[in-house]
Amino acid sequence: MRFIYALLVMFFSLVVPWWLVVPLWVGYALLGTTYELIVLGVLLDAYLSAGAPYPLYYTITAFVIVLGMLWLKPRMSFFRTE
Amino acid sequence: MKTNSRRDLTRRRAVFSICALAAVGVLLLFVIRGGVGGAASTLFSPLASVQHWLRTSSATLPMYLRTQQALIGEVRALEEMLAARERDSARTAYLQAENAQLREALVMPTQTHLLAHVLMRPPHIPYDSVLIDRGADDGIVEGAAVYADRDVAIGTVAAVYAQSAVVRLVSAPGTTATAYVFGPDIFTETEGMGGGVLRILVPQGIPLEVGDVVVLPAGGAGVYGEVAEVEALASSPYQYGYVTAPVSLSSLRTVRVAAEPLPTVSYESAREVIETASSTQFHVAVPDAVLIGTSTAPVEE
Repeated sequence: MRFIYALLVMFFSLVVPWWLVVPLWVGYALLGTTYELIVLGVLLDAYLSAGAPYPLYYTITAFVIVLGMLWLKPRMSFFRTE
Repeated sequence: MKTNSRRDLTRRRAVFSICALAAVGVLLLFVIRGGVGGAASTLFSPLASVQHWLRTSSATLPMYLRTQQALIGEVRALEEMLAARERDSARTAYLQAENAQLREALVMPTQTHLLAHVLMRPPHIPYDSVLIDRGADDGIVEGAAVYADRDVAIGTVAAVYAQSAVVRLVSAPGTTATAYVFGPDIFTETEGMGGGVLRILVPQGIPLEVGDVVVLPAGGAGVYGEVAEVEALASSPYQYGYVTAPVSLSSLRTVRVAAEPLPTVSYESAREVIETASSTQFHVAVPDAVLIGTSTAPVEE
């Protein structure tokens, strides 16, 4: 199931404008520790950033989201197990 | 406490894994971006083609997914485009013939151009780049100039994949070009500011005004744009002119790509390109039978 979500996220990351990718990735990161978001960010930067001096927009966004969710989820009552 | 320490250890491992993965990704981007980009193109090219198909195709499923208002707007835009194309067809034929003659005079080889559809453009991607649906399989080469409407060069091919290519616009941050500004009649360097905007740097005292036409001689005889705003601070020895793109990037649907990399243009060739641009600005393809008062037009008595 997570694999299907990952494919959908990959597809919509190309379809929607870049500023809509952020809430899309935040929603996906709520599923768990989604390392594949960083891989997706690296691949998108490699594919679209040819010639740019700082090809890191997607990678940095994915890194911040994944790390941020790792910090935030234990503090969200929805994810607390105790 | 044991549970807490185990949880903390798990979290620390996760943080370490995330940081290591991001560091490896950044290293790959700076060291072997081309190889990673090639692998990514295998994955993303079909997806980009599918989303382009959903947006533009007239097949049943894409049509069903698009709203009625969007379709009505699209029909109106296409009708206007068709009317404009019919009006300009004679003018285009005249300009193409004249362009071919001028290229021979400039000793510039006549280049064949490949038509490519734009798959992704700003603001869909955060970079000042455009993804097109032609790649190495279609003969696209790195460094080839890319043209929008009216032979205006808007960028060059920065990366070529098998079935797609990334075009870096001349207005991308960090990109520089040589421009000629009509009005003050000067050569200057442009700096890409992103969003289709170029910035030119001109010393104070030179009369730079809004509306001054800007040409990029290395990219052809087409006018790139006009100075949209002039920023001149009394405390600075320089003034800045901001030049907007000739076409709206968000409405860019097709581009033409040269078959060969952009040749080096000498100063003499650049001057001839500028003279061509200034002398053909107001030409209209009027048929000889209608045009009165020239040596080639028959005079009715």
